[in-house]
Amino acid sequence: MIHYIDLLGFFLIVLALFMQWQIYVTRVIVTFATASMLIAAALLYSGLVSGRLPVVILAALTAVVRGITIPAIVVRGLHAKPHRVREQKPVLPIATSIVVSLALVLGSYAIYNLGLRSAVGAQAGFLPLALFLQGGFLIVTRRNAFIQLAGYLSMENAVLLLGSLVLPGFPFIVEGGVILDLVGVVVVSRIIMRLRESGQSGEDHRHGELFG
Amino acid sequence: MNAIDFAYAVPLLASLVGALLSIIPVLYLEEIVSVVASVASVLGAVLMFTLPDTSHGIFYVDGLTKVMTLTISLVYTSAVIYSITYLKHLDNPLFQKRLYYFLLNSFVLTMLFSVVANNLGLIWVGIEATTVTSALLVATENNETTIESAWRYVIIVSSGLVISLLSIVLLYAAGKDLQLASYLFERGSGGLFTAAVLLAIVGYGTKAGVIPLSSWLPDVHGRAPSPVSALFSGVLLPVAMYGIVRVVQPTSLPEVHLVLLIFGLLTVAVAAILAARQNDYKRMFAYSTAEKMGMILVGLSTGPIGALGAVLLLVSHAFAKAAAFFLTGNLLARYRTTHIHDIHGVAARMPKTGYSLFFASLAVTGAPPFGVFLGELLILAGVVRNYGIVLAAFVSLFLLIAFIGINLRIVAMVFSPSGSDPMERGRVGTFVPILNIMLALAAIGLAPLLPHLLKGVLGI
Amino acid sequence: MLLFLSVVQLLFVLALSPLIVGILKRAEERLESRIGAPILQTYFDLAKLFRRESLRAASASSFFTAVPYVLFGLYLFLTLVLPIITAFPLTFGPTVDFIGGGLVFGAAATLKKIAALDSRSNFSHLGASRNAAIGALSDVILVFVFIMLGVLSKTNNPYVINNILQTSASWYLSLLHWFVASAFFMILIVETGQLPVESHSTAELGMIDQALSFEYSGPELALYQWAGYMKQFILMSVFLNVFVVPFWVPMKPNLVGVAIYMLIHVGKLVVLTGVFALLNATVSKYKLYKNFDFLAVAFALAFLGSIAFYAAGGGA
Repeated sequence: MIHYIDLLGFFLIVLALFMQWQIYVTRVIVTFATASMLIAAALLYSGLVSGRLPVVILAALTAVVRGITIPAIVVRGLHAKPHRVREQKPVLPIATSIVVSLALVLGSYAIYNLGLRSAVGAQAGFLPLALFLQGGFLIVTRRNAFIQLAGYLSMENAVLLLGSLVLPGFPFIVEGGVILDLVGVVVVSRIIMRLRESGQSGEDHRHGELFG
Repeated sequence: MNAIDFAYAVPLLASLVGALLSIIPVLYLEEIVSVVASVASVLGAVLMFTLPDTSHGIFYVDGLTKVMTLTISLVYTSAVIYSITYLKHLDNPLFQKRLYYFLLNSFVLTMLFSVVANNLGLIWVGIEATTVTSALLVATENNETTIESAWRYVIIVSSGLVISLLSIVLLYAAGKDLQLASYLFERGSGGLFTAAVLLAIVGYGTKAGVIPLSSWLPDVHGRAPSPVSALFSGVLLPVAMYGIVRVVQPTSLPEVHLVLLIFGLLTVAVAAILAARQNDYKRMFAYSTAEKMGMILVGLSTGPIGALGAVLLLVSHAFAKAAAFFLTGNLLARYRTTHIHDIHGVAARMPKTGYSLFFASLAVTGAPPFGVFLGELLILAGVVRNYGIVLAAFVSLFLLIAFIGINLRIVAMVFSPSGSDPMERGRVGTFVPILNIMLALAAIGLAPLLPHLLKGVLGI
Repeated sequence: MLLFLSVVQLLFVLALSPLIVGILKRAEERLESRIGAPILQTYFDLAKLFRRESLRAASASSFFTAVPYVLFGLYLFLTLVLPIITAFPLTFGPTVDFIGGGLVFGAAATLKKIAALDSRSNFSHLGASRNAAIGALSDVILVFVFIMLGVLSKTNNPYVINNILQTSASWYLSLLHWFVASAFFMILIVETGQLPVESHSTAELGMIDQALSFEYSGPELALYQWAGYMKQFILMSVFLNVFVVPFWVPMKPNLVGVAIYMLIHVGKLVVLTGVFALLNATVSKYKLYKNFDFLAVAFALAFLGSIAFYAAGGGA
């Protein structure tokens, strides 16, 4: 039988590939929300099975904050500007980026088995690493700020997965702090993105200085 | 929690109260409250020096923490006092003064929290929180380029900090207890531990000014208001460096030291060359900060002497760089341009600012008798001892390039002839930087105290 | 008895493949609130085509006329070697294994493309180039899928794979199996020309498979289309019998069991046809270049299946 963490991990990789596949930004955010909910469900299951209350609380917190609140904040920021809802031309063509993501998964599997597995001891540990790399890949290959934000949030999800499920027992207070920070980052990002695109900021022709 | 623990929290509480009270819409309340909070924070930091080290509970306070708290508090006070007069010169502020002071106080609160936290994870939480609070401060001047640089800052630093979070989880996986009290005293070794430490260096390095990770640094410093730049260069980057120091502390693995050295050398070299080629004085000082951060990394990669020099450099550079940014703020307010070649005769038109700028620039680039010089000297001594004299000569070469480049430009600005009238007003904004330069000088006095204070940290 | 069953399987596929196509068309029409042609219409169309005269362009060679017959023969051959109504190998079963079957599919596709090129018509060339571009990727994924199923059973024998999946719950529920099944479903959509890859209209904008047969007429066209229907039937049967619902297929030679199963098989196919009809009624057609992204995702699923297999420690 499949271990539920393996199942979760591979589903999350499939969802990450879906994020690569999408052009509409809203769908990318919704995919991220789904991934967060899946992680929350797995955390809930793990907490109930092992009978540890902090894990159950973390599951609830993850579902509410990462699964609902943060996607809601980002999507609200999206609809203010309808023409930003699609990313027309990603840096890499989509098929290429899917193949590169697969190479990242394979690479993380290789790295994990060659180096870290004996130390970490968990068999499914390459899955969070693969998700981490795919999140980073999203940031690097996309120009749309919302998709970059989704990539950053996926990286955080991957670290959560590693810390709480693959290696149980990570201190809860740190996870709580991380979630608070995430909300802060998303709120600030939304404000900045709104300013960036509203054109209300004053005209300034020294943009060229940023390239030197 | 007994009374003594409460005493350690004074700076934190001061800045928290300052932040909260700043929101209340009473005229001038936010400025008064912030000044009071910052002075209270300095007093609290000084009080901390009289208390013993502690390592149980939520705080971990040793010599390094005390030194950093004092540094942060002093620059905090300077920034707050300077902001009072500087904010009048902003063209298109993004938000009201109340919100600015609220964010400023919260920013300092998060930094103070990071240096006293007793858990590697909580240090991370604090450093990530500094991003949240400082991002909008960067964007105080509301124009397109500034907002763009603020966004770059947020995304680059957040991605870097996720890498450090991963490294903390890997440290946990390697069997380490994340509580500083136990983490710092177990020798670290093994492949997983090394990988985690290297990831932490890369991750925190995006915030600590390491080139090529911190590509946001010159952009942000070029556009942020001067008190915010002062806080960034003076204390934020050192706080990120503090994160690296705490992670690296229990190890003496050669791989880790080698990576620190390589990053440090790369940063010093590239930053020095770029600083010497800048046409914008704010960006020039930003690259100079990166160079000093590189020197700190080099110092960390050598033995005790280098580490001592690194801490001394960190403290004195904080004051010197803050002074430099305050003075450039004065320049911007009067001359309305950040181009070096458009500014002439500062000594004639704004004498206090001009001469102070000259001395601040000397202090920043490492001229004696300022603390920065002594710090760099100690670091070079460490390099000679550990890596040979050739490498030390190499490093000195880049320091020299930066020294000459920056000072030439400053001298061209300050001492060139100008036919226009004097335009200085002698407000508080002119005296704060002078105070800071004095502090940079006084930091030399700290040097004999440091070995005793930092006993046990970094092998000193 | 095995030879008898082989002939029965052949006639089963030959006779019922147009029926399945008719059911699909009618279901699609019904879902769009139209009445639609009767289910048996496909038979009448084929009969009509057989009565017509076959014309050949002056620029085409006799290769052009020969290909539909060869195609028909290839697909008849494939019905003998794949598990359609039995889960035990029939007389000609050992001729090719699973991968060989995949390669025969590829050979048939190649012949279709060359024949299209042979006719020198613009539409046929269009279809050939598009087909080649997509087929270059989809055939590879097909073979990859078959290889991964092979590691599951340590053989390349589709009958053995079916038996293993029928009897072993752990293999049936394994990640490898479901990843590979999803990949094969996406390839099935591509190969049988369903939406979102291709829609059956006469707009050249979206034609991939359809354009290949533009120059044919008369009995050649009838055989070409019938071969297409058989390909669809075979692929759907393989999907059902080897991937998704390998249950109830008789594993031991048993005439009564096979007879009962033939009815069950028609039922399975009808359900799958219903799924396709639903899909065709809900999604819209992709822009042509998005098909490559679609294929990339199919490849990704197959690849993830292989990683899941090796990560779970299988096949040391």
